[in-house]
Amino acid sequence: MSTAPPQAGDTVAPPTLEPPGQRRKRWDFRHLTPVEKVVIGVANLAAFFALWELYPRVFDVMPLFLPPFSAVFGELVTMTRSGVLLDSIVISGSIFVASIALAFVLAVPSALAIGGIRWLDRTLTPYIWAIYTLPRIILLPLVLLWVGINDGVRVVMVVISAAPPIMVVVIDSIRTVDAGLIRVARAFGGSRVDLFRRIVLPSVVPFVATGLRLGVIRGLGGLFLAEVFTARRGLGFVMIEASRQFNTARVFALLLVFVLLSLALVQASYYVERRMSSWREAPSGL
Amino acid sequence: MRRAVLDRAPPVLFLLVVLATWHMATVVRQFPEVVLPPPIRVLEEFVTSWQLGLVWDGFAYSARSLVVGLTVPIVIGIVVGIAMGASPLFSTLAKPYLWALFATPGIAILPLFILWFGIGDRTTIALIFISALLPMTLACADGVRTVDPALLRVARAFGAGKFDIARRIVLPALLPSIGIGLRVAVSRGFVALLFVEMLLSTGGLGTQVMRAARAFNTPRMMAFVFSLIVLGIALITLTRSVERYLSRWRDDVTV
Repeated sequence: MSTAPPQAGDTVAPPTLEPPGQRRKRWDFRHLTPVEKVVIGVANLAAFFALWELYPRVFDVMPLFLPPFSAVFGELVTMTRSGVLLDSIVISGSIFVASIALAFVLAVPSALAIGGIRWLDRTLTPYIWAIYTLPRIILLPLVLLWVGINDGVRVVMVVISAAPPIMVVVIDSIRTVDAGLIRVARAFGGSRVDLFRRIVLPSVVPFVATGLRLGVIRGLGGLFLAEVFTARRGLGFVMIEASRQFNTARVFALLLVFVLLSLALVQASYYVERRMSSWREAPSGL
Repeated sequence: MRRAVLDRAPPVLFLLVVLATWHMATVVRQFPEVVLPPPIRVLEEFVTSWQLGLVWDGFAYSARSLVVGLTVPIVIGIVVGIAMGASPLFSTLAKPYLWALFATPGIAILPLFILWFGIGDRTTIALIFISALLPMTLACADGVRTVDPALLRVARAFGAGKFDIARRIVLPALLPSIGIGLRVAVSRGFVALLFVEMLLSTGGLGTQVMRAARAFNTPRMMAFVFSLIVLGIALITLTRSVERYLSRWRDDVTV
């Protein structure tokens, strides 16, 4: 298990404004070296899990409320042995990846069309924003009604979660395309297709990555929502099932797996975003 | 004025077209009412539910849970966020857990809360609490970091006391972040509320939706879904204007 602390929120450190003559203190928590970061992270997590192990034992907490960490870990081992864990991860994961891909394929071209055509933009963009900002759970009953209780619900929920953020970001990005470039291209006789291919598309690419990151994060929520309400297999279902059987250790174990998977996905999408927008100064703060 | 009308015209027209298509579809294809009732039936059902008091009761219940659930985490979030921003040690230690929880959909914690708090109001409040606490805390922690160190040094050089610095430099710098945190906290809290209401039938509008759906009363279900959509849009508009109000002193208002 990797023990490096999650860094999802780490922002780029601003240039230091400290007077240059000041001596660096021994433990300066504002500017840690990478080694210090790892050491502190490991110690921090170790302390956390040690506390989790000791607290229920010392204070005799009922395992129903808070099982010691060893019980949670044991449950993790049991589930791995019986194959439930891998099975659920594969089911949830493959549905998630396929749905995100579908959302991407649907969202990017339609966003390009909406962003590029004035009247479409004015007509549809308010609705895309509305779907983006509205809690998706409101739409779940309608999805259940029309799709029925099957794997389709998960796909639809992930798509309606992930597509709007991608579309919103891409539509916005088309508005920020450098107007000077477009004027120059027109002056030199660039056609509409040329403009689109050589100017609009390249400047939109980094934003697509940002949209994808937002889509992945929201898509996870949509997936979980659909699993809890409808699925018969998958991480969310196994978790709600464990809580119905009062198996707290299993709930904790699955929660831990879910957190780690979410963090890994978020990190991966940050990485993709940084790679794709390397020519820009910094990823947008959206 | 005229411009405003023209700007609004396309989306409104689109909505009318959708409604008309929906109506035509039900007339031409004769869908069973369970699958797709005509829009007028949904409206009728809304009026019926209103007269029965279902809408108001559900709304009052949901609104009460949301207000009760949101107040405490917003206050705690601001305090903890400021502490995180002010103390690098605390921030280094607390951040991995907060971010791990923030990256996880808040609803994933529900199975645990069902075990801890049972099925009822306490679970609702707890889930709203945890969903709203994290964005509030992280936004405030970020906000403290946006305080311009040059301003702090100037203020200190000119002999400003701690209280003056807090009131005139830190607080104004923090307000926009509080606005952002508030917006995210309210929308996450709203999701948490609906999630619990729909899954556990604790009461409120979410429960009404699921009850109508289970009774195959699609018009009523849609009436409640549309009420929730209107409510959601109202909440979003409200929190956005609060956010804009709090960051009005900044030139570059981010929307």
